[in-house]
Amino acid sequence: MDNLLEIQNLSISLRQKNSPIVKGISFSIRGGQVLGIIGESGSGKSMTCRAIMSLLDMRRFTISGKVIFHEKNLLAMPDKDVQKLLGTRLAMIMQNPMTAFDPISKIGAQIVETLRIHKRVSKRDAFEIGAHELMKIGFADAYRVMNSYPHELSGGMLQRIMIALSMILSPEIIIADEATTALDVHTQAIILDEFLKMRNSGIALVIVTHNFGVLAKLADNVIVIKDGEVVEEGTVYQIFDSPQHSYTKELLNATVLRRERIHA
Amino acid sequence: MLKKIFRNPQAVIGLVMILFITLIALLASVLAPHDPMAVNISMKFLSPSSEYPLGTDQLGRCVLSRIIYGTRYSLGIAIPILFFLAVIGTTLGTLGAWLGGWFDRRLTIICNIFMAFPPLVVVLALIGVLGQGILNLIVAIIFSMWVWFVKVIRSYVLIEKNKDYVVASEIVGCNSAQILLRHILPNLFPVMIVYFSTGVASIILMISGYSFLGLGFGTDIPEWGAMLNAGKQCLYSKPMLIVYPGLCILFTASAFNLFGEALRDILSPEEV
Repeated sequence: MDNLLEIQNLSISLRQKNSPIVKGISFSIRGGQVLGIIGESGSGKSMTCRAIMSLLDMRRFTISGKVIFHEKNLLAMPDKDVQKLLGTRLAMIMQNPMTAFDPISKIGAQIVETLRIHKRVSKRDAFEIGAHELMKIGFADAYRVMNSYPHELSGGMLQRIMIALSMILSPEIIIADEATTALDVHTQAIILDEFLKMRNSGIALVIVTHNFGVLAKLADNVIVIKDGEVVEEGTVYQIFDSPQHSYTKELLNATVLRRERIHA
Repeated sequence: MLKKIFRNPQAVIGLVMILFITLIALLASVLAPHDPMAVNISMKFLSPSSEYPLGTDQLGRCVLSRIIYGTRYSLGIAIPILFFLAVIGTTLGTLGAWLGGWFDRRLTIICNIFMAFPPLVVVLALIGVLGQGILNLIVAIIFSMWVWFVKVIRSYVLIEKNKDYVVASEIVGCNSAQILLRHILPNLFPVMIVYFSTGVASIILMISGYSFLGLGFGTDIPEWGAMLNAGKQCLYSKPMLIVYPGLCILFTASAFNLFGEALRDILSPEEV
């Protein structure tokens, strides 16, 4: 099976300072796999994600390397074509669910809007699809949620809605940038269950985190990033059982939750 | 939103005052007892009577009628000016902040150049070139004020465009127009309303100020500032000729200020 997404020698630097943030990262992910990216704050994890989703302002950053999705380089694609891919085949779950929704429009309207950008459906049909998707993710009162404003819902609910929203157009790959960091432990567990379901349904996941516990539960492969460089990569067993690099060992030792792989 | 307005006494008072002024402006021809332009020298400087409730001015014109028609002029000039300023400010400010790059840099430079001149100087120069006239005054005020609106809107959009939900809407594949029109501008709407409604007050003051200086209006036109200007010649003998239009300006400006500031109080806690 070919690589679904392949990052080749990706480098990002601030144009004004010319200081590199990400220095030649390469990794790849196959369909249905879960890749974990771990590293401390400021190591360039989020920048990598944003570069993959073409969210970086080209005037502020110089980006070199390739982001190959289905044998096409996203970085060389015109914006319009990338916009068509975003949401439909490539989706992303953001770090802070509380700020990731437009505060003045209802959840339902936002789901309907997302659907109608990519699909020719009527507003009513889109609303039904949205409510159905929310039910699938465990909202018994999906219609009430659809008619709520973001500030009326909790962070955990919003994060689940964001997951539903990212799944709604059945993408092939979802990037979760610290999707559990802003949530309490209990809600984290619920979100992780949702990720497991995604994994089982064959969606490839890129999970960015600084929490080994999350990776232990989900990831197939792990790459460890430090100061914008990949210091170690391997399967989740290799990384957890016999870390080679001193930084990986340090990170592992700093983690309270160690080696707790629940689903093998 | 509406409930909150009705619960805030300041907003209610401001709103009632604005409605009152608007009604007077709309019904001016019904309410005014006389033709505001009708000159009758033999009846000049009459004291208030049942025929002329507020007396007559130096040319024998009914002061009450002139004040009632003055509402029309003040609102009728201030609101179109505000409309154009809002349109120019929103379009250019939003585009500048959103596009960035050379467009934004050039826009900022132009704004800074315009801001280096006080509006009064710009208006004086423009009226001098274009000549007197209501239309010329409108053009001159818009020309002297537009940069302030552009700058304010631009800075609002700059703050808003870096918020997470804008990134989120990019992620789901919205294009720039959709993000701007459906997300950023609707979110800025409350702050913009506040800015514009306090803007009305300052524009009304500005129009009156300029016409007091003799810019823009002929003496026959019953605009409050122009009436002040005409009345200052007989300040000592007939002080009321200045007091009436002055009170009207005060009333109108405070109406819009009260409402605008109450709106700010109502809307700002939710922003945080």
